[in-house]
Amino acid sequence: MDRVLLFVVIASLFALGFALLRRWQLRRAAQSAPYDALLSALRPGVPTVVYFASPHCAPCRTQQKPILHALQAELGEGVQIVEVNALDDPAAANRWGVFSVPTTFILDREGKPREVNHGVARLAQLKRQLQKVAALQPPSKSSPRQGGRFGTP
Amino acid sequence: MAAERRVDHSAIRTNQSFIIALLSVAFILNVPLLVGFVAVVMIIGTVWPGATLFMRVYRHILRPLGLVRPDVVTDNPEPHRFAQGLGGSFTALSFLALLAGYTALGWALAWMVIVLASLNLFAGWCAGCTIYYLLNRLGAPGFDRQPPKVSE
Repeated sequence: MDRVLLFVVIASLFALGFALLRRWQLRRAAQSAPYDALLSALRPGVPTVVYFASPHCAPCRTQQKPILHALQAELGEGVQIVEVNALDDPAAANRWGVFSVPTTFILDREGKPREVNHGVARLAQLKRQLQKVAALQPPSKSSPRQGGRFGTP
Repeated sequence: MAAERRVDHSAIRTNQSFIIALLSVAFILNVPLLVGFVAVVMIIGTVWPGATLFMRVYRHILRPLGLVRPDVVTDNPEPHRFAQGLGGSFTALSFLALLAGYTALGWALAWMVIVLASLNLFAGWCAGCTIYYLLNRLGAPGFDRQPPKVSE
């Protein structure tokens, strides 16, 4: 019984640590996002995926990038994707609290980071997160979900 | 042009799930022999990839029954084998430490494997693969595979 309790405590501590890390990372990204040069060219009112990768990251090339291509193809103008090479721009990775790649942030239509994914984020997961951030906003006149797309400006 | 190499990540995730589950059970029930069993399975799977017990469960039971769907992607199998070998080595060290009476060290090593396998399973970060590609960049002998290129 003691060992079960110990197992639960240790596993909970790791889970809590991971959850706190995600919160910290989102807060850090939220502090950086309003003034960050990475986001200066974004179209306002459209949800964004900020994707940190590196040339030597195998899952970035083989999994995350094709998934993001599929996402872009499916949602078209309803999503914008910003790719950051964490090796070329370590300052950006530091500003956003990125410590491994691939890491993806989901920003709502106001550019506020709402979700962070460590490792490969699946297509269904990204769509679900984008749907969630789209639902956080009051619907615009142009009907954000029209044609199954998000935030069409 | 070399043929694109593909890896079924569902098989890898099944393998990790078994490792996490069995090492957790070993800790809870205080059964060092189970740690030894996991170490043997991992090391055999590193030397003879086709013989990995947990992946065979996936291939012969879970996949045919439709309980786990295949997730085949362009990838190199070598970094995953290296990761498994690394995990197997730490699990074997854990077992030896437990046998020698260094209980705290033994279970700490087992927990390290549980945590790293969980990071891979739940957060998609493979520590062993990262080390493999780092050694490849440093030109270490035997670490010949670069991250695969994917046509866009």
